[in-house]
Amino acid sequence: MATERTFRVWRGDDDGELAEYRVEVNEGEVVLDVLHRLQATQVPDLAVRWNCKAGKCGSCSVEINGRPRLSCMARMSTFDPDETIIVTPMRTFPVIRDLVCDVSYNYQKAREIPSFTPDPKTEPGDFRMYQADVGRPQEFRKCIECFLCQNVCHVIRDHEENKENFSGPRFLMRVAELEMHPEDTADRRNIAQEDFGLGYCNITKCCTEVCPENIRITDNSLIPLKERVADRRYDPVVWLGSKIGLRKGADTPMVPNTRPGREAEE
Amino acid sequence: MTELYIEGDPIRDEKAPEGPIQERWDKRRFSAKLVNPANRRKLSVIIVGTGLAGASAAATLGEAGYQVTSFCYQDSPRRAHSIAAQGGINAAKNYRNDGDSIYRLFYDTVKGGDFRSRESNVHRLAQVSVEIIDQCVAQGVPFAREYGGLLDNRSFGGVQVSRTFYARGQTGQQLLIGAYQALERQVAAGTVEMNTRHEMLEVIVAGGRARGIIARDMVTGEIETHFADAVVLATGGYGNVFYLSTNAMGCNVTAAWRAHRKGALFANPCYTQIHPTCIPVSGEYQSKLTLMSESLRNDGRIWVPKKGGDPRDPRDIPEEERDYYLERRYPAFGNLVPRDIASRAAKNVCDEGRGVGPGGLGVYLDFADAIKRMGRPAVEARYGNLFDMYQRITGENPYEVPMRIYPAVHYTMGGLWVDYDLQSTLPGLFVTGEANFSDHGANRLGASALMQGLADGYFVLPNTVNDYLADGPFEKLDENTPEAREASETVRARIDRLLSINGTRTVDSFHKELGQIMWDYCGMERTEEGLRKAIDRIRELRGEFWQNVRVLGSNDELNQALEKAGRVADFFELAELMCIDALHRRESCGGHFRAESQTEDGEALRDDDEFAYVAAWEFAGTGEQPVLRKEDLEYEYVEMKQRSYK
Ligand SMILES: Cc1cc2nc3c(=O)[nH]c(=O)nc-3n(C[C@H](O)[C@H](O)[C@H](O)COP(=O)(O)OP(=O)(O)OC[C@H]3O[C@@H](n4cnc5c(N)ncnc54)[C@H](O)[C@@H]3O)c2cc1C
Ligand code: SF4
Ligand code: SF4
Ligand code: FES
Repeated sequence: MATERTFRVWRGDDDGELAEYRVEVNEGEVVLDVLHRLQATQVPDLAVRWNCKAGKCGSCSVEINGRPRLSCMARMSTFDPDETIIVTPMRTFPVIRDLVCDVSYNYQKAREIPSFTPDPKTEPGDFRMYQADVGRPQEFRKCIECFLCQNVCHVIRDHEENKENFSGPRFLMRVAELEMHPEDTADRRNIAQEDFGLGYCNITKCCTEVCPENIRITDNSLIPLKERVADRRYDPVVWLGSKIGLRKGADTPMVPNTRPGREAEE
Repeated sequence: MTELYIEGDPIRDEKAPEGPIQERWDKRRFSAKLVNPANRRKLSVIIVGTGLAGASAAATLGEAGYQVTSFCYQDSPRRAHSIAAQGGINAAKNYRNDGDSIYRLFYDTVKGGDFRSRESNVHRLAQVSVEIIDQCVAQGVPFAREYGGLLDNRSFGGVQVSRTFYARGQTGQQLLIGAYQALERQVAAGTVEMNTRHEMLEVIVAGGRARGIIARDMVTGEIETHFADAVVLATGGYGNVFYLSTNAMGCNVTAAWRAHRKGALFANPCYTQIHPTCIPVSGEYQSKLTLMSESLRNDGRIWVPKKGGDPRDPRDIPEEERDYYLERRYPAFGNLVPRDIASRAAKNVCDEGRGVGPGGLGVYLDFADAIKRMGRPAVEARYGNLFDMYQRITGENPYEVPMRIYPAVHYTMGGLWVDYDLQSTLPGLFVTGEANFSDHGANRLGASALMQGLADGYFVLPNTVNDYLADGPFEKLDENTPEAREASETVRARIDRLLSINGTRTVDSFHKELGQIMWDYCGMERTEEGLRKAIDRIRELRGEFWQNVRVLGSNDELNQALEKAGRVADFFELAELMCIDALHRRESCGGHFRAESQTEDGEALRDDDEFAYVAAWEFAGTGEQPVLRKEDLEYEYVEMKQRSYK
């Protein structure tokens, strides 16, 4: 059952504008299918990034009627039958063309986080871990890096100036994930606060609301991380531990040479 | 048939040592020339691809001290297609004490590949499989654990032991995050330079060696020249020649095909795996199929109604009116028969008119019994993600109603020919992961692609590439080197040509038509007549493409139509070679089923006397007869048998 719908789609770069199209929509389709039909029938040079069409690769993030979503998972049946569909690129990142953004800010932030650091004393195969402990960080590892949470977070959405010192929910969650791993020996709590801007987050939960993987970013990672940071700072035992070099206590620095301009400053 | 190709000299792998198979890999590592750590900095390696195969290789070679430059066409290494793998990764750890061993994994892989793979390579794969798991655990990969806290395993398509390690339906993603993290660490350490959103469009061959690549910056359109002492292609498979497949939309053959045109042999292009458990097609504009992990076959039962066109809700169809056709025909393996058998069986029941869902192209995969037996929470723990995904895509709840599945193109066993060192016939060009042909013969077992990609990248290549690099660094080249200039001009000329045709048909419409030809004639079942027809039609369509394709815009910008046009142009040439390969192989084996060669009960019938060889093809020019070079296969350690899963 085909119907005609109105789509307004962003064309051009940051200074682009919305262009309006009438386009056929069929039962069972998602927004990405309709964008493909537009490409096939009316706008062959429309730039849309996608890869898996299964909500797995995180390439097709856009804003649909102002809401950050994966276009491959946005079913047309969830809109009102006569609703105009407005598709724009993610607002927080520079637009390369049409619906395609430059999200390199995020990869930059990823690089700054010290990686998983297992205890060198554990022999391969010896290390045991309980399913419950596997399960906790696994929720965070469902992340497909669509960056919708990064896009929506008000700390950077309209505040370019905060980008340098705020890693965003996705990467603070990554820090939390590493911190919760029982075999990890690094301690990233200090840099979470100092370098990655955990303090900017005022737990509005907007990030959690848009996550297509339904990860409870704020409740399960950001808040517990904030608690751990507080423990680290005010708990005298941890403070002592850090003095005598026990695990989870010695500060691990941000990965060197990853933040441009950092050396010059220090 | 010889009018379609010419037979040339045979070819052989010269690198695998003689002697007992268990010792060959050690021997090879020992005999390979080494590069001392101080010299490694002076040696450069280009790695194209950042999936599991490419990311693991780049991280390992970077850590070893070589100067690595990496390329991928996505905006991040972590978006490579490997992210989509769901089911798991094999390793012969024998944690379950169920009789698994390196030998058994080797045996299963050779047998699963229908005796068309090289024994030495497969044995090595089984040997290093054991190390992969330790390596990944050390990166923090959250494999599932059992009660005691040790790693859990399950059994996976086509084998009777439990050797598959998994991470909740997201194994590929978890492994890739591990490899990506290792790679990023090297990027931060300055040993690896990462070039995202770059598409390799040509290999530079100078002085008989692969010495670099030409890549297009996909944002600015700049055509760049990069040099190195060796080039590694880890560029994935070419299943998208069928247009509809489970592969990510970007997967393509361009990197491999460009190397083939420059002299690298392409082996067994017709070996294609069709996966039995995909979500069926729903409409005309569908551009991609979604795979459901085959692990679902462990607990789900596959059936169709006994009578065709049964209009009832599946839940109302009584047991005695259902045909659990796999369990019926293959009592020993039941729903766990290898992929090719399960796929063809599904196609057969649908051809008989007993298929379910839109267009009768589907069969049921039913979890009602599993839920009764284990309880819903257990099913949810094991398959929760997959069920959610199915529900998101189809709008149906698989806890309540049986899923519908149908076969789709999934994996390509063929690829660039490589020797035991993973080096192609072009010196200095190495090929890893799905892009090579090496380990799976005519059919790949489930959970073995991740194993192979990581084995190649973490363990094999880092121990063989040194043998080649030990003779370097090679002569310094620059952009004025004639071979480099020629390669870069070829790329430019092709782009200009595509942009100037200005025809009336979109690239996608050509791709779709090509895919349909391939699916109809070079898909699950192939015949001499069909393949000949396909070759004619592909040639015709290729002619039309170069006359009438419409590519708007220019080269100096993000231009997705241009990217696609280049890829589809290469798919045309590949498709023709696939059909020629399928036509020349007048036997059925693994994923290649020739209707003319089957047993009385419709099973694939191999012809070992004539076809126990690898078909490695040499490029002779577009539209010219390719040259067939045979590599004979010998089996010393596994007795060649007709596969039987009865
Ligand atoms: C849906 C699905 C599920 C699967 N599940 C499993 C499973 O459970 N277990 C299993 O073992 N296997 C599974 N497989 C198979 C397995 O995922 C793949 O075979 C494997 O991931 C391939 O890895 P790769 O590194 O060789 O290539 P890919 O991951 O495909 O990576 C290719 C890389 O090459 C780059 N590239 C390609 N061409 C160019 C070019 N011209 N220029 C620059 N860069 C280029 C890409 O950017 C990418 O980085 C599955 C496959 C699919 C489709
Ligand atoms: S909860 Fe924190 S990180 Fe998430 S959107 Fe709000 S401020 Fe940003
Ligand atoms: S946390 Fe969720 S919203 Fe954020 S990048 Fe990951 S998947 Fe996307
Ligand atoms: S296309 Fe991969 S998440 Fe949408």
